[in-house]
This record gives sequence, C-alpha cells and structure tokens, in this order.
Amino acid sequence: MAQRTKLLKMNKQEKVDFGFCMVILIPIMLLFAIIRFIPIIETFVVSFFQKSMIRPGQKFNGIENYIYVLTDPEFLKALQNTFLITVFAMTLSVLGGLFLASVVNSGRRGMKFWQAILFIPVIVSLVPSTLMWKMLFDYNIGVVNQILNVFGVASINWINNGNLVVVPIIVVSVWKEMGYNMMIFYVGLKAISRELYESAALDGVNHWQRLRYITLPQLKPVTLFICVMAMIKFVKVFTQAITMTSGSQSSGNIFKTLVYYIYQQGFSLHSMGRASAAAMILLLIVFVLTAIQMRLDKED
Amino acid sequence: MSKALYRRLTVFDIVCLVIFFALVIITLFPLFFMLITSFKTPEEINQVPITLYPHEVYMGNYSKIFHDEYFLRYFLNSVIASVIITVVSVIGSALAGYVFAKFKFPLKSVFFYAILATIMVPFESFIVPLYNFVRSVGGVNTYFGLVFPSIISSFGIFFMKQNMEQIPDALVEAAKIDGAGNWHILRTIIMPLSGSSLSVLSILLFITAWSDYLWPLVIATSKDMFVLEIGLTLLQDEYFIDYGQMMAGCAVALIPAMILFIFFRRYIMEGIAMSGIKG
Repeated sequence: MAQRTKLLKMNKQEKVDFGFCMVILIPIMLLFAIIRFIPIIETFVVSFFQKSMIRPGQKFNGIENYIYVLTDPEFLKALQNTFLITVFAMTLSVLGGLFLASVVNSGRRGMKFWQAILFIPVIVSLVPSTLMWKMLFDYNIGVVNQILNVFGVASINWINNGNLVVVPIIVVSVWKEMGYNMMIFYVGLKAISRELYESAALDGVNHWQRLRYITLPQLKPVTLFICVMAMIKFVKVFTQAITMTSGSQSSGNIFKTLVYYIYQQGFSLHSMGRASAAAMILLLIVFVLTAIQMRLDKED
Repeated sequence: MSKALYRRLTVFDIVCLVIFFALVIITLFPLFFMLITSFKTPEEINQVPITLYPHEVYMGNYSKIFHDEYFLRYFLNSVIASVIITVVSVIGSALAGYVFAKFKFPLKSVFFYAILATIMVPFESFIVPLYNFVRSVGGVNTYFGLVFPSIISSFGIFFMKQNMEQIPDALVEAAKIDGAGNWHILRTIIMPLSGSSLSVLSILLFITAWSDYLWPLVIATSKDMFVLEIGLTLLQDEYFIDYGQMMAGCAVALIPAMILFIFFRRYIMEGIAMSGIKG
C-alpha cells in the first residue's frame, strides 16, 4: 500500500516535470525550427532550383547553380578577396595576440590595466571601428599618409584603390581581433604549469630556449584552436569590407567578399538559387573548419 | 628592490615592452582620434598637418547629429531592438537552460544537440530564406522583423545549461520535497543563484545585438527603421565624408558598450574568453 502511493506520487511528479519541460521547450523548439532549421534546409534545397524572388515558380536544375557560381568570375574574385583577408588577418591577429598575452602574463605591475585597455576593440562594434580606420587611412587628411609623408613616401590612395583597400580592411580586422586572441592565449598561458618554468630556470635556460622548448609546444593546442576560430570568423567577413568601401553609391567600388556575393545574389539580383548555392559553399567551408577544430579538441 | 628590478630587465625585455606599448598606442589611437575629431571644426579636420587636439572645442558636430531628425531615431531603434533581443533571448536561455540542466525526459539529448549544432551554422548562409519568411509575415520595416532572428540564442541556452548544472541537485530536491513547484523553484532558487551568469549573458547578447549589421541592412528599407550601425554609414556619400559628424556619431554609438565595459570589465573579458573556448 505504502509502495503504491509512493509510485503514484512519483508518477505524478514526473508527469508534472514532463509537462513543465514541454511548456518551455515546445515554443523554443518551434522558434528554432522557424529561425534556424527550416531556413537552413531551405537553403540546401533551393540551391538546386532556379528560383527568383521576383518571378514566382521554380524549376529544378540540378547542380547548375553551383556550376554557375563556381565559374562566375565575380564569385572567384570574392573567394580570393575573402581568402586574402582571412590569411593575413588571422596570421597577424594570432601573432599579435600571442605576443600581447605573453607580455601581460609576465606579471609586471599594471599589466591587468593594459590588458583591459587592449581588450577594448573587442567590444567596439564593427561599423564605428571601420569608420575610424577609414578616417586614419583617408587620402587627404589621414594620419597614415601623414606619417608616410614624414618618411618621404608620397600619399597613397588606400580607400579608393580597389587593390590597396584590402590593407585598411585587414588592419581593422586585426585591430578588433587581437585583444580577443590575447585573452584566449592568456588563459592558455596561465594553464601552463609553473613547475615547468621553475625547473627550466634551475637549468639556466634563456628567454629564447624557454619560449622555444616550453611555452610554444605547450601552447600548440590553444594556438591551433585560435587559428581555426579566427578563420571561421574571417571567412564571414562582410561589414568591414562594405563599410570601408561604401559611400560611393555605385557598387563598382565595393570590396566584394563571399558574404557580399551571397547578399548581392540574394538581395540585389534576386537570384535565390545562386545565393543559396554560394551560401552552401560558405557553409561547407565553415563545416570543414569546425570539423578540424573538433578533431583538435579530441586530440587535446 | 629597484636594483633587482633593474637587473632583471634585459634587452629582450625592453624590446618586448617597446613593441607592447606600441601596440597599446595602436589600440587606443583610433578611439582617441575619433573623440578628438568629433570636437574639431570642419576647417580643422581638413587642415594639414593634422592637429592632435582640437584648437577650439567645437560642439557643432554633436549638435548637428542630434538635430538630424533621423539620427535620434536610429539611436532609439538600436536601443529598442537590442533591449528586446537581450531580454527575450536571456529569458529563453534561462528557461531552456534550466530544463536541460535539471530534468530528464525522452529525446532530451536530441533536442539539445539540435540546438547546439546551429551554433556552427553561419547566419549569413541562411539569411535569404529567413528574410523571405520574415517578409511573408509582414516583418519588413518593423521592430518584430528587426529582432526576430535573434530572439533565441543557441549559445545562450548552452551557456545557461553549463552554469545551471553547477547548482547542486540537492537544493532542488529539497525544495521539491517541501512541495515547491517547478516555477517556484526556478524563481526562488535557480534564478538567484544564476545572477552572475545571467548578467554576463545579458551583456554579451546586448553587445552582439548592438553591433549587428547585416540583418538590419536587409530587413529595414525605410529610414525610420534603420539602426545606428546603418545610420553611421549614411553620413558619407560618393564625394564627401563629413568626418566630424561621423566621428561624433561613432562616439555616441560606443557609449553603451563603453559604460558596460567600465562597470563589468572582468565579467565581460572572462565571459567573452569563455564563450570562445566553450562555444
């Protein structure tokens, strides 16, 4: 009898709990379906169709969108631009972050303060960041050209030169990313055991040896992780590029990246099929990078 | 003491410190120069050589942007959208985090991993179908449209689940034996104990929402519904950029993040570092 009532009571509690979970989860999963799952599946499906936002109706056309996109010089240019930004911004921000973290970690007085200062760009939103650097790289009134002039170099038209504008775009990307990488490296450095350094100090190793044989090998997993994270971030580069080069209303001057290509195909040219095919290529790149990262995590 | 310190400083250290402070200057200079420029007269901005401080403090740039009928509207739109996004997604994350952290039910891990998997799908890749959906329900140029894609956060749910798992089960069990309902437990035990993670999450989501650019760019086509990030880029045209006004606008755009940073520096830095490591 006692056991039976206990069982009934348990069941009731479980029922109540289950009801509670569903009341919360059903609306949330519904939202996830509308905002994430369905659009993701739709992108995949639409990438195999000829579909336009203006004209109703759609036609299955296999991998034609992919062929179109992959042979479109605009897309290849966008891919190349994205690659250029990714490689340079990643390398510089990772090296800079590593350097800053190691100096901050040296334990000198006041380093906590400088660390906070160096972190500020991470929370500054991207549009103002880009506009500030746009002013510094201005042809006539920019500080960068003024400094170059001091060294006897003629002013350079950074912003309006389709090839050179990648420099300010990379600079602002590095500027914003470096403090973030510093923070992750700092956490990584803190995790290296003190004993390793202490025993090395007893052996009388110098700075370079310490860096070469202890710090860098110990930091290898963190470094790879940060590189992949930075790559995932920079493949999606859009805001910096468009803000740095917009203003001229003709889109001819825009520094086109992968996301810009999706945006242009989808929202200016209204070709959803092609936009979706390009989006799937972006998704694939990010998936490959994420898979690498997960693999690194497992090895770690 | 000072002698020991002096001896410890090798050439290598000095080189490192010089580069370090050069990077500190590069970090601060754009922000400093933005502020300076926002107080310069148009003549001084265009003056060469460039002045490093305003020779006459000029408030005209600020008064111009605040008399611009649209600028305040952009600012207000940014505030409204970011606050709605933060409040709704933090509540959603807390509720879902509680469910995933403290309950067992069928298909729980399927639900959880489905949510987690969306973290790695870039928003940019499915923006076109999402836009079509929001447009089909009349979301273009509305606050609903502006906030809709961000009102749930997969990262937030993950973050809250991780944090709520730290709360001892014994506390929850004890309250249940006393006959407390799940909502009551949530309100009186879980929420108060999650205060710091809730505030970290709110700050992170607010900063993310505030700096959002691509979605507001596609969903708002009328000037009334532009957010600040979009509005700032409109202060330039093909032939002329009014840097004074633009930098004043940037300074205003940075205020919320800067205030948060000054008061919650440690939380923000740790929160962002953790979100990178775990998310």
